[in-house]
Amino acid sequence: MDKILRIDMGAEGGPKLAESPLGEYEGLGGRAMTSAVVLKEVPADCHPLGEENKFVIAPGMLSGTLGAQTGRISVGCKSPLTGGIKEANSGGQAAQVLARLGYAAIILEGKPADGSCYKIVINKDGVSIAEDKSLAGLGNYALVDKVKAEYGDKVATISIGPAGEMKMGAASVAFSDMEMRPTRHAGRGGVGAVMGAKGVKVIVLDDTDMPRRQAKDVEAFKDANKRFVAGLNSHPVTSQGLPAFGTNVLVNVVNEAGGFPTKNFKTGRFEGASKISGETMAEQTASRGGVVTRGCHKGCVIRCSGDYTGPDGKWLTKQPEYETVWAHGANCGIDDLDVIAKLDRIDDDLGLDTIEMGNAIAVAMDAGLAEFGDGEAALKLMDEVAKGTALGRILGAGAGAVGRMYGVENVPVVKNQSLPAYDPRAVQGIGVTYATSTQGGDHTAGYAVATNLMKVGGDVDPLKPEGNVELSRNLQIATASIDATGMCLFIAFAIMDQPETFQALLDMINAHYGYSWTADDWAEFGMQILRNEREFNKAAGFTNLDDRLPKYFKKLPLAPHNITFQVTDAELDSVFNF
Amino acid sequence: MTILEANKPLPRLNLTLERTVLSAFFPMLQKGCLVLCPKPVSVEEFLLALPGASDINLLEKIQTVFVDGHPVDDIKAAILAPDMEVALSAAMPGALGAVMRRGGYYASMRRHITFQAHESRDGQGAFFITVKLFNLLLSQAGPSLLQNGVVLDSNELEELAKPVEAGFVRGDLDGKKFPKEEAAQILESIQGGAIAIFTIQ
Repeated sequence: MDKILRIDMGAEGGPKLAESPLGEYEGLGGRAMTSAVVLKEVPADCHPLGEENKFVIAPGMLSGTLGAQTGRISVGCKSPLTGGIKEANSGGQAAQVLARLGYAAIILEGKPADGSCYKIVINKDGVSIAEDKSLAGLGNYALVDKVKAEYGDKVATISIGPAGEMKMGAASVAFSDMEMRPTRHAGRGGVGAVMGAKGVKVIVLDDTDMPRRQAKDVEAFKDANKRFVAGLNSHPVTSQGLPAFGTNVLVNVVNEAGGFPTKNFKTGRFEGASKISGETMAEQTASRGGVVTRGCHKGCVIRCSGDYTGPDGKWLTKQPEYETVWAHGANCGIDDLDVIAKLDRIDDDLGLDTIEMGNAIAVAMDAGLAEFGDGEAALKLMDEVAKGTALGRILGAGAGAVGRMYGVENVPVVKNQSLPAYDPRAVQGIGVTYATSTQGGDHTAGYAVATNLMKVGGDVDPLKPEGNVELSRNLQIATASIDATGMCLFIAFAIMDQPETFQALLDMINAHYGYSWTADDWAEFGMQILRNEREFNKAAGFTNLDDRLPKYFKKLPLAPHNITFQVTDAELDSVFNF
Repeated sequence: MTILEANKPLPRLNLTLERTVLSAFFPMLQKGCLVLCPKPVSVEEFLLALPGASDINLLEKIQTVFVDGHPVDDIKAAILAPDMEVALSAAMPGALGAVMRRGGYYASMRRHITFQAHESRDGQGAFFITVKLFNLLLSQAGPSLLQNGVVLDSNELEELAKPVEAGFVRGDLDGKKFPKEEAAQILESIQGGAIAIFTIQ
């Protein structure tokens, strides 16, 4: 992973390839790489779909090694949804394969003629790029089937569906999983639209005959990885809860807490919650003959995913995650898992962010375009998106656009990106993260719960009132660091509770790169990523007034606790004090 | 009128079942079961009194506790009162899982909804509470709760009739034993609910 591939998609005579050493980007990976490149090379005032924007794909620092859980890959650009910097990351096979092919980043630059549809193929022999109009308009599933027929089922794909080609604000970038299905997505912020603007439909990665990345200290890395895996395997969340129920295990608990946004964030409890819970989905999957537990990439030992098997006993989609089940389920008043699974499948095929689309449909329901709870109507709205009708394009532009077009006052977005599945009035600390994240409304921006061990921000008294701000700040810093490593965020629970597992993670980084990082270095690394992102956003015109929740969260109490968001603006403004 | 408001003694159903049918109880346990609480006790005392609680390290497995939807940090200080709803969860993933954890590092992030202990132990006598089990606790704590005894209405008894027959080992209704072949019919015929005690083996 010692080079960067740049492709000028707008070059005269067709796309032009160039490879360069890492230079000033040496040692960076994942989010650290994408955000550094975007800050340095993308004019903050550019149009996100124009030639000046760049589309950056970067595997994590430890991707391609034998390290467990190292299969996350980051996509970065200026976001067409938020207008700020964007890093969206995903699981799937691509991180490991791209890293073994030696690339720390692929950067797509410039802009080809409208309607271009390129396929890029990267293998041990090099890089080739060619127009392939036969791919235009294909859904991700048909596209990947076509790739499989031509290149076999051992390759990995990075692709966009029709939503990316239509440059929708909710368009995602799809990554194939271990079964070579396009089920993993860098979903947020419209990154698929930027890939579409670059005219690239699919990148095919083949690491046949490529060696695994070697650490500087091979034995130390092996030892650290062994301790790291043992830690994951001994923690109840990573060894039992996630494999048994997937991320959707959260439905019942969030609903019980009264923080499960229901019918466009109108209330915090959904009466149909038990019908769509992870527990119910796991029982149903098993009874229909599906596989309950799968990993999304080689080297995953947590295996939080699984199959969603339809009533006919056939595989329909991957097990929808908690955020998807919430967005298309409770937030739209839908309590039918089969409908939710169909919507998930359509999102994956068209290449759409499930959180953004669930919110867009919920706002459309609020506008009277359909009744809350009407699953068939939700499917019809998605059909409008697939066809690219005027209504479909409004929906595909995200919840903010739907709200503006149909005059809906209460639209749950921050920086025009939809909020995820925890109501910030019930869990106010997460509301701080939603408001202040560099990424817009994003739960994963403050997800790395191991801040106590990482020593991020020093010792915090979690019980003092102002803890919300300090804890959110520290979570955002720690998350930025983990997003750079290529590690799955689900490692966080094990490293929070088990100091030896966190040390094993640091030891893996140190053994691989020859560093001697301490927890303080780790924290500084995360802070630098956030500084870069804040600097870009500031240059793009963002101010502290953009670090706010929509005002109605302060005015409308949320049942059942009848509480409003109470964190003050001054407190929000103090989050980024470094 | 609920089965408890009917003000008449409920029949007592004892069933011993094979573990293979335990999952049939999961939907009911997720939604919540009525359970008798003999006197005002703390959540911790209630949990420790469940059959087999110490054998399976139940308190250690229960990482998140809600009382009436409020996450609880101190289960010693939270005193149960009539009609309360208690929900129990094992360790959960992600930031939310950490935030909801009892006494956890991130508890202040949900301090606006945290349970505030204010109930006393002044009340006398037994009362009913609703207990919900989530995720891993369905299989880990479900057998203890079922052995403690739960109040089931006639709809719930009807839903359980077939699984009970499938996993039947032995059973009696108010002391009268009945065979496997009659189990489903007996459950379906009970009107007005029952106190059911299940031994899962």
